[in-house]
Amino acid sequence: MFKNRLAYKLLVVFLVFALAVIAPLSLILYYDSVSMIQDIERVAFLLPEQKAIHDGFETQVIDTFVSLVFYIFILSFIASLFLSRRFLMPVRELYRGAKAIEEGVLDMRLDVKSDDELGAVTKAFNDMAAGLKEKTNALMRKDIYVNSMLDPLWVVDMDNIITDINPAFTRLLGYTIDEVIGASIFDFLDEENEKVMRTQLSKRDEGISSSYGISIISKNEGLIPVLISGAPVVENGEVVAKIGIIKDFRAEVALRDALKEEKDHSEAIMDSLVDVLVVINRDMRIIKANRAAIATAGEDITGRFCHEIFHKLPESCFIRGMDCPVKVVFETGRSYKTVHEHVEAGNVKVFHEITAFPVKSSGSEIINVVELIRDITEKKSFEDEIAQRNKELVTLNSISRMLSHSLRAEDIFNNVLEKVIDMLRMDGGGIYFLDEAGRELICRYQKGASEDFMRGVARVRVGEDIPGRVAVTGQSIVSPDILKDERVEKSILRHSGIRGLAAIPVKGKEKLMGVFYIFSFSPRIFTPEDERILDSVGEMAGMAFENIRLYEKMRELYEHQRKRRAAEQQNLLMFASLLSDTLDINTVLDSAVSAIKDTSKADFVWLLQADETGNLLLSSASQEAGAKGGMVYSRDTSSIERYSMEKRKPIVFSELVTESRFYLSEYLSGYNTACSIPVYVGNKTLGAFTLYFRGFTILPEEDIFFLQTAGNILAVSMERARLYEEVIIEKGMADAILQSIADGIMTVDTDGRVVSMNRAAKAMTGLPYALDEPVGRPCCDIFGYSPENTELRWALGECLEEAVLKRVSAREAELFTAGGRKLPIEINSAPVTDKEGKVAGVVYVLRDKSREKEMDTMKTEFVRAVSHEFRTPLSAIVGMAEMLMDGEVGRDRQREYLNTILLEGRRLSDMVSELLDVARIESGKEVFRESEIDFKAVLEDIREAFNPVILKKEMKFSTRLEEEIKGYKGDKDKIKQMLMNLVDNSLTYSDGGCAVEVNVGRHGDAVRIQVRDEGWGIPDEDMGHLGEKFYRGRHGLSTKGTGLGLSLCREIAKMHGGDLHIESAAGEGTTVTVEIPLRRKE
Amino acid sequence: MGKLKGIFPGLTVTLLVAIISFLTSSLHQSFDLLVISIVFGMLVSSLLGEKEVFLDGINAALRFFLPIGIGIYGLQLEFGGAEMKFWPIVAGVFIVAFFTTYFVSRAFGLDRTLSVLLGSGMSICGASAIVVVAPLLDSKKEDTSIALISILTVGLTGMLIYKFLPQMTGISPLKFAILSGTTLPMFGQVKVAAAALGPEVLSLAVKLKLLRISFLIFLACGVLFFMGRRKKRFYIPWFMVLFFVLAAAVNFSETVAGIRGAVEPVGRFSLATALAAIGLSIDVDSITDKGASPLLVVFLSWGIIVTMVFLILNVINV
Repeated sequence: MFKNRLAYKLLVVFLVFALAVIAPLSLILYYDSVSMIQDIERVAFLLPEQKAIHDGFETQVIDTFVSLVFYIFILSFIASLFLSRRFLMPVRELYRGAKAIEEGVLDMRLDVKSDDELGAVTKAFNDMAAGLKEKTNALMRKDIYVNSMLDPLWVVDMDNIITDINPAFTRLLGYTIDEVIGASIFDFLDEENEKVMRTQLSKRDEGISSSYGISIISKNEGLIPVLISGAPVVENGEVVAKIGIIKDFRAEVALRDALKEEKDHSEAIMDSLVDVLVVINRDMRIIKANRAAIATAGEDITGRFCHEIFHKLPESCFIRGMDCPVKVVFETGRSYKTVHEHVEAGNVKVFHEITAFPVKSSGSEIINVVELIRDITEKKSFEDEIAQRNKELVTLNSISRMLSHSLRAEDIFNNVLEKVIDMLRMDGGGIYFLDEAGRELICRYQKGASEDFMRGVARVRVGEDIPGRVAVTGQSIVSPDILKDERVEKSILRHSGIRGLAAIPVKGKEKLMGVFYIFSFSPRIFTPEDERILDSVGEMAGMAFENIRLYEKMRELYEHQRKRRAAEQQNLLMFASLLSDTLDINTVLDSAVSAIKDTSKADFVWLLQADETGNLLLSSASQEAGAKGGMVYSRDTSSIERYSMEKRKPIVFSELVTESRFYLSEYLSGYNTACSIPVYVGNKTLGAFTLYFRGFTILPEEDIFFLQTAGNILAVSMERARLYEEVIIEKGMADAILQSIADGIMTVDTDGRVVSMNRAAKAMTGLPYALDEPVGRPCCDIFGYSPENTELRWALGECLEEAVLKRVSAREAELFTAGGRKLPIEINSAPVTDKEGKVAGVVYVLRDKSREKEMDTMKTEFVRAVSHEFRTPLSAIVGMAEMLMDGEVGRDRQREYLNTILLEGRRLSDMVSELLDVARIESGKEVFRESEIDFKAVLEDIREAFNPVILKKEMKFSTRLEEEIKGYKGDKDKIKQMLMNLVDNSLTYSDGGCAVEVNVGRHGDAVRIQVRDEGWGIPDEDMGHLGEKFYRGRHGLSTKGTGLGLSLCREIAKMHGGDLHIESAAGEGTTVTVEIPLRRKE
Repeated sequence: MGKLKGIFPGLTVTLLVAIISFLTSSLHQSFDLLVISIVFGMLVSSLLGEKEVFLDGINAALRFFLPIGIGIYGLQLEFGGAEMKFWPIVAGVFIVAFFTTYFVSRAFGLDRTLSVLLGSGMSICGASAIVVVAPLLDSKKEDTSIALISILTVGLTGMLIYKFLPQMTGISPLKFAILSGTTLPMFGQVKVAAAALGPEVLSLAVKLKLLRISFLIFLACGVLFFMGRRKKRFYIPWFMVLFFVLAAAVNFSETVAGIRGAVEPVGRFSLATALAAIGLSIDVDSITDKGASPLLVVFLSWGIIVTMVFLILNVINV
């Protein structure tokens, strides 16, 4: 439990010293002091003060000594701590270092802190650690080397027990170190190998190193062949162990076996060769020969010189200037092939192909040459023959190519002649061609013959001489020597020096074209191959000649067609231009007929068109043939034109007089040939034009095709002209409609530029636009004359954006005209799409809603007025009735109330009647009750009716009938009602005491009724609205009424065929004049 | 229960050491309880083989008793003992002693914490000041131990040789009282040194020493402040709060002053136990690693302080 440390030992030393020395010393001093004091006291008389001091002295001494002891103890403790540190530090360091070395840290180096024994020990420790580290590192390195070896290693002791192995041992043999260490080396060997091992180990015992091969039993794979390098481990002159380094010999054994196998295989191949194969060294001696070489030589040629065997020469063949492949290979280091020619018995040439290859050592030095010698005599003769045949084929190919690539007879036949002569090694030749009559052969191409000779044989009659006989028979004549050939005894060629001759017929597909011949000035044997070649050449020449002729004919024909086509195209172009120059249908037709006549050279041409009923009408004619537009053939009449229209194809009749199927117009007498071309567009047949010829005329296909094309062009032009006319008419109507619409219509493109603008839209701006002035301008700029149109322009822009997205939109905005008027308008926009569905523009419809707003305002006003008018009497009626019901009214006033109720009720009834009258009159449902009107009675009724008001307001009311109006018939009630309204107005809109006159009289053929007052008059701003329903004007605010009176009066006047006029000025009274005719129109 | 079983061995050993130290210190006034506790604890620690068994108990004792001891120590602070005219002298010596020791220590290459501990011990009251200030500085136990031992050594030396100063230098009893009361580190050492010149000198020296002890409150506040600035976090441990409260209470409450005598031994025993735990838990080798530098520092500082005080006392002619 308790530590045993040097520090404590030191501490104990100090404490012992402290106690052993100080304590006794202290005690001795103490007791001596006390004794001394006692002695003093005994011998001396002390004063009380002295005694007190003496008495306190003991305590003082104790205090001092205790303090001193404590002080010494503490100092001892501290000293021991620091001194022990001084001693212990190095020891501790040594201890630490030793522990580190024990743990394998060999890099320890302690600080030498003193120069004493401890310092020396520290130094020795450092040296020891360094040495140990060095030795350990060396050992570790050696250990690493051994373990890093690829070759296994084992160490056995003197008893042949394995004491150590390296990891390579385990890798090779599979045994772990634990399985091997301590085992006998012989445990890993079989009997046979054990013997070898024992022998080798005994050598080790004698200090001898050696290498040997054995097989070791591995853990998994059986026997492994190895090569062991064994050596003794000698220590102090004595063998203390044996070490063996093992080399895995499996690869080498396998290689050796493979090489042996390869060698056997190679020798087998060598011996199996038919060709001679020898290996020659630098001395030119044969060191190896295969079976064929030995068999050829008839003896074993190994060791003999190659030139001796193969060339039968005593010295090297290259000395004699021969091509020696062995020498070449030794010199160049590359393979070499050559052919040697030998002449053997019987003067037979023998050819040998020799191929020599270098045999190189591992250092790339050529040590031997392998020669493969092959007898190629037969092969060579084949090759020569093939070369010859090849040459012939090449020549024939080139001839064939030439014949097929060129159409120039001169070049072709001269070249063919030259090639054939060259190929067959002849001296000359020529080619005869039959003339057009086929009676004579003419020599057109020749080579090798003299001019004199050619003059004699330039022309040969068919059947005569050799070429002529060939031409007749069609068979070749081939003679190796014509001088000895009886077949050609009579030929003049016998005198020309020609000996060998071959004459071949030149045939086309169906007939003989000519004769081809070659000759030599010496006899020449023609082989069957030669004859075959000549036959081929003859055929090819014949075909070439035919091709050339055909080509020339084709070229002529092509030229002719080309000119003809050009002429037709020009005519069509001219025709099309003529028709496209105008859109006037009559001009188109006349131009067409004229052009067709000129082009076709016809005697008469006319164009008939079918109407809706099927009659054929004359549209145009090249000469007089009746009135244009007149009917030529009725729909039931069969005619050439109708026939071609039905068939929808050109019809030609060469002999009209014999045609009984068709009716001919009187204008067509004397014509023999007719060609009718239908004119149609798509499924629609427009008519037909017909060419008439007096003579018998054959119209070529091309001419008919041209006429048909012309007919199509004409049909398109006619249709175009018709459509154009229709479009013009439709456009005119559309424009008229657009301009007449009351709403503004404006179309813009997708950029917002105006495409069209109708009259109403222009009028809305208030600017005096010319017809197409706004076109092309941005639509927003159109309304840019006033800054207050900004909202309108925004709205237009928004509508445009919506329309571009194919959306219909509606906006409301205010349009300020150039004159400053504000119009509430409704903008409706819609996209305009093309036939592909893409937005091409926008159409705006601008509707002036001022009138509607006015109407709304007036209706609102009317409702208000009516409600007000109705409410007042109704309030009075209801109120008074309630009061009466409740009994709140005294009896004296009841009657008054009832009277008021009655009057108000009547007033309500009158107002409703008035309203109904207006409605009826406007709807046209009012019944006109005609009767004779007595205007005097009417005036009196009026006076009576308004008397209370006249009296109340003290009005100066007068009526006057200027003259008796007898016999006037009208609706009396309506006339009276009208007068009542007019008088009521005058009385209402006049102050008290004013004059009101009613005059009735004749004014021309009309009855004039005039009501004049001196009332308030009508302000100028109300004048324009008089007669409008519900309009009350300025004075309406202060008076009762519905605003229908004047309107009703006007309607009544209109019912009677008349009208109403008003003259007034504010403050100057009003005069209303109604004039109705005495006789009303039905 | 398992936890109690774990700390029992260490706690027992600590308490035993504390008790033995307490009894030993009572034998003579120069025997400083705290120093004896720590030294004895170090001795016992060095002798123990398998210290790991006792570590838990030792640490538990330290954690428990140290704060209590420090807190109760506040009762020791007495401001009203000495006359006002001595206040500047005591304050001046306190400041000079602290900073002289601190800077000499720093000049010797000692770290800041140890320097403050040595300065505290030299300027206030030896072991107690060191023990109070050590936890505020988070000082290592080894630093606390070496500071205590160094202060004790210089105090003991002073205690022995001061009594010869009057004969050697002719210093007056008053000045001697001031010198011993203001320059000797430990209370017992002051008493022993001053007692040699009579009861009046002893009484004044003791009063001056007590006044010096009371300056611990300023030192503690200063350390708290600087540590708070350094750590960027001002934290007053609960025992310091108790320390301040009791320091104030004992000076302003007669009741508290009355019970001081009964409570003070508890505080002393607590501190003794704490220091015994410190001694038991430190390795002697770690103390010796500091070398003799702390001893040299305190002796040199003490020499400078004594010389300065001596000269100043002669100059101001107290």
